[in-house]
Amino acid sequence: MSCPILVVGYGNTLRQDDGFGWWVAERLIEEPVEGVQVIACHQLTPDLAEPLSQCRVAVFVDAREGEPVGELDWETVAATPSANASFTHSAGPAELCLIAQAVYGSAPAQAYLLTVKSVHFEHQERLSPEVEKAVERATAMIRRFVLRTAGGASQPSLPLEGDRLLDYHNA
Amino acid sequence: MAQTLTIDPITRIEGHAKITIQLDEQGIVRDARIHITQFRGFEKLCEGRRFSEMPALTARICGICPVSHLIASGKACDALLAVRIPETAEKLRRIFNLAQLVQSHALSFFHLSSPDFLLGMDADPAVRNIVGVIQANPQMARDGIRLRQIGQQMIEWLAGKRIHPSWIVPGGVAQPLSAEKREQMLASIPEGIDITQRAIAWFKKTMNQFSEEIQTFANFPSLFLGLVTETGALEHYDGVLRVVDSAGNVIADKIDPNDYEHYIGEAVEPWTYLKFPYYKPIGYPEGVYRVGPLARLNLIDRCGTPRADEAWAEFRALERGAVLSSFYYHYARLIEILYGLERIQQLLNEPDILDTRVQAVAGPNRSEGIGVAEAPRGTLIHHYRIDKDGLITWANLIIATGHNNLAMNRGILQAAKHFVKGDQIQEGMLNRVEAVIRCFDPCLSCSTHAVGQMPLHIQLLSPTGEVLDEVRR
Repeated sequence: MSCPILVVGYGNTLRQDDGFGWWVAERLIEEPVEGVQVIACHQLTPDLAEPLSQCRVAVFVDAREGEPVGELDWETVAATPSANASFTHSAGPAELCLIAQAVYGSAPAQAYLLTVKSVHFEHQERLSPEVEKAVERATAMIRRFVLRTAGGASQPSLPLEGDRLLDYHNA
Repeated sequence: MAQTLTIDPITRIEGHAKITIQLDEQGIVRDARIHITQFRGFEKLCEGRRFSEMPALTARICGICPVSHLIASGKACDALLAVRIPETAEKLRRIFNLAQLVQSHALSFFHLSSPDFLLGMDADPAVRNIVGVIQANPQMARDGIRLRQIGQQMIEWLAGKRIHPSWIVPGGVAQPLSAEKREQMLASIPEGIDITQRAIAWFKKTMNQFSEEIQTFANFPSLFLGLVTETGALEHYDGVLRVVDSAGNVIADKIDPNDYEHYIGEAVEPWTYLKFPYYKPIGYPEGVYRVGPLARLNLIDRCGTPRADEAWAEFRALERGAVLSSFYYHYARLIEILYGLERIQQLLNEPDILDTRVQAVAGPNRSEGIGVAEAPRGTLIHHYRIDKDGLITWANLIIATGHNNLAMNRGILQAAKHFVKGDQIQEGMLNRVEAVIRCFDPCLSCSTHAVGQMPLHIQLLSPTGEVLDEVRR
């Protein structure tokens, strides 16, 4: 196992808040956290299955349509394919975990999706003010998560409810 | 009652498109068309920008083949500077272009088309997907991922990132290659060659199950066009244009790419955003030609690397003249991957490949520049004009997918006539019509950008074909 925790931040930085995941990943790359591998990319592609197969915990970071703008959500990713899963150049977190398991015989024991809500997806490289603030909060949340997961616990403690409440107050 | 079948959107291609199949009163296919419904407008967007921005700007046309645009744009900018770039820079650009070809062809073959080969054209769409591929042949799924990774990794090692790298600059490349990266690239090549040879062996056996598709997937006489070296070998970066006919005869050779306008015209139709390039000496719409891997392997006298030459000789033995069935685009892609990896290996072993002189610096010395290269999907042409301040006043981009537009339309009509019967519409039939398009591996996001001159024609038709409403602009 090359790295116990993998963070994959993805999105299109040319479409305003869609680039949220990418910016979060870049922030984590700039200030690395021990034991964490970070990948910033524009979309999820099947070749990510290999690094996924080598980690114990995966955190995907993305943006989604919704309000209030800037609110963060954590959810568990189940390694089950969507009904219309196709072998194209892009895939979702669940499909990628499934590919990792089927092709490499190993998938993250736990996978999570951290998303920010937004309605701003225009042609622009700058994030909306709310989502720009959310980048900081998301980065901090991932750092807290990593600290609580450190030590090789088989079931990483996930104070997600608390984090979400805290985050909601800060939003 | 006449009927129109619509496949919308077409799956497993880059971009979005729609096919309509027009049936007659007896339910027999009368016509079929591919409609490219997205619109980009890059040629117009670039006007007024500094020419030196063009590589980075035009690379944004596509997230799959930005390298191809970087190469063609870089060459057009070299022409504006009127410089000959350093030899090492040219070699590095060649490696870059071939790495892109490896990853793009791997994507097309393993990721987009393998569900059809592994699970069959008639397979239930519910299983003709990633899960089905993995269950049917996990080794192939692993190979596809790894081969694409090898190409992508090479791009990243050279340019710093995989998508939209800004490493190609007018006059050369921004950074030389380090010894460490060279060794990493060389180390990955043997595995890539093994994977490709395994895939070629598998495909040669498997394609026998697709004799009906081989017969009917855009299998017709046409011209083939692309770059070759001065001595007729496979070429993706530079060289001269060659045109062969369906019998394999060379009908035009050693064409200076700067003279492309004498040989290639562009027509437009009101029902699609994708232009229709045609071979000017024959005219429109009869001047149908094909580009891309199938065309390139039909044009050449040899590949120029040992394993690829061996594979190419077998490929050309499929037919006495040119290989005409577009189903063989898939086969040609694998041979080109093999060539790409072998050629990259050769280039990395050149003694001057680590030279640090990789950029010629100059200001604009010409008002017009043309850059032509072979993208994975075929010949890519960037043509710019600038004013005295170096600002773009006019740009024309002819994209590989556009060259194949006439052939794609003719191909889906051929397949539709064979597979689609009005009284028994089945998923497998429609999938075969779609699969014809996938043979060409069209990149529609790249090829739809002729803003300002593209006619838009919307007709509202009754079931009997009566025009109920009509809008033109």
